Amino acid sequence: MHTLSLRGLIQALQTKKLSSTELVDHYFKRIHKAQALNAFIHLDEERARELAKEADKQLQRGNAPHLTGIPMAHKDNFCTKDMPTTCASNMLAHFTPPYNATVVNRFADHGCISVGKTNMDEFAMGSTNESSYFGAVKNPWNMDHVPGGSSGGSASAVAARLVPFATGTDTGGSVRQPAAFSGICGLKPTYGLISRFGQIAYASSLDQAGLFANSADDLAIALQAVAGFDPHDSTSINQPVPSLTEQLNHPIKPLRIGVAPDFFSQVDTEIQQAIMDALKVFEQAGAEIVDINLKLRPYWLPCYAVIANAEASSNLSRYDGIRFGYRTSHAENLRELITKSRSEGFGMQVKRRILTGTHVLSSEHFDTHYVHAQKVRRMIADELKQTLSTVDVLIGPTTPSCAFKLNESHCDSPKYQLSDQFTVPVNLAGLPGLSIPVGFNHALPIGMQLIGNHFSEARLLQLAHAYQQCTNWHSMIPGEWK
Amino acid sequence: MTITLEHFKKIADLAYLDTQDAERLLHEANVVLKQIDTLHDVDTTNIEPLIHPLNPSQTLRVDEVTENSCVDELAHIAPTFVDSHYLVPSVMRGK
Repeated sequence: MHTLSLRGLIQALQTKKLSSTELVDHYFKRIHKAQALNAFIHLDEERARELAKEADKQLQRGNAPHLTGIPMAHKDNFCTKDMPTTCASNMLAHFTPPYNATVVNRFADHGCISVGKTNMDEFAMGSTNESSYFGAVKNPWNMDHVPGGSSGGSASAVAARLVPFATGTDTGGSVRQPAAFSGICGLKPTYGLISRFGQIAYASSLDQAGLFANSADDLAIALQAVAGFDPHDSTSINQPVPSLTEQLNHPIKPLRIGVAPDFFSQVDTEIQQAIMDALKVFEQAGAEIVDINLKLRPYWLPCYAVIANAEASSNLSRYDGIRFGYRTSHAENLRELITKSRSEGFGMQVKRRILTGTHVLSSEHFDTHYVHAQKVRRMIADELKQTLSTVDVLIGPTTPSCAFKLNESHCDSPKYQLSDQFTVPVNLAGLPGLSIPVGFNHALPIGMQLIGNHFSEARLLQLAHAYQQCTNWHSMIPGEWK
Repeated sequence: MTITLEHFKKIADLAYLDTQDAERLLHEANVVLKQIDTLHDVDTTNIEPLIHPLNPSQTLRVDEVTENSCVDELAHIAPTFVDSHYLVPSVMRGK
């Protein structure tokens, strides 16, 4: 069952060749066998099995929504009123929200069954999933390596076929980078396409809910279910969502692909070769490759660092040990209560970002650092939009290297510092970005990123789908998890 | 620009974090701040700050009451909550 695509599973359920009870049972058996991956923080097995029985009754009646009976998983920073929502932090280790995120409700309304909450970097801050309070997640392709982060649990679970698809969040690459490291497809949609209501905030002007699946086709099905305006989110965009699944098979010609030489500097040779090989597939289909120049590339990472840390510092000020979340066991006064609760509740990665963010927001540095970075951000966004007015899509590697070894990343190591260099500009400009698998280096997956203009998800998925009709990287399953 | 431990402890105080955290994280923060400094090579004269990536007009909801009291839910998630109040240590000195 786990080798079927999401589309295949939907057909099997709707035609009653398979029951949701069987499917949920099958996936839970796989999840229990894969405990060593540490992909889940919380499992909701009893409720999932009850929902599967209900789904089967509905499927029998013949009035079941499209995704009825399909198991899935949510990253643990989407609020769920029936399950804890920890953000992989001691701060929220015992927190169960009083409401569901819109993303959670929409998938439930379409009939999906959430099997549990996936592990992640604490408060979605990290690129390795090692900052989780609940321990590191392992890469199914090689257990000595990380799955990427921050949505590492979702990526690991989808790669090991523990669920057909999963949600993630992407502030600077937290869907695309783990998708690349784990050999699956990961989509960060246009800012505002998916509601952020109930998605625990990290950096609000960059945060976007995203999706993991094994193919562009499966991503299109999942995105169709969850995208669209939400009055609860003031940054949600009020415009109709096109029919993504219908457009998937449209012909891709004529197509102009922008490729920047900069995309290949400081990138592993094997990754460069895999991207060149993938570009040849598009060329053979009639695409034109166009050299582009992105002059502001050196400023992508520092601009992101200022804005992400500043917004993190502001968003995480709500955790005070008073209203919800962790509270220290002993404090003499109010100030000590808040300080001790925060210092004991947050991990070091989170505290580093809060402190750096507080520094750039402090009165003497606000204009020189924060406002200046917002101006550079506009220049970066304008340069990308200008470039995307001359080509249909930008293509390059998602990451400069394959998955790091566990415990080898340090914030001042060049490899770690540069790991997000190709993913952050997408968030700075609010663009959609899609990572798809295009090969392997020493048995670790390689990801290729496609970047399009605002609301061009249909186009990106269509291109990825066309590529996946000619290649089989997306259908490869890690040996141990076949 | 490198920041001093003294300054970073003040930042920790502003952020309601322990000053020991500032000591442990000073080096890592300086690595990030060094990277951030390169932004000053960019001339941003006459450039407006970008606050929202799509620059849409702000969506406002209709000015209607949409929520009832949710005191019970809030009480349920609070560390200590009695008679509709959050309990905290004494704020007044000597109490």
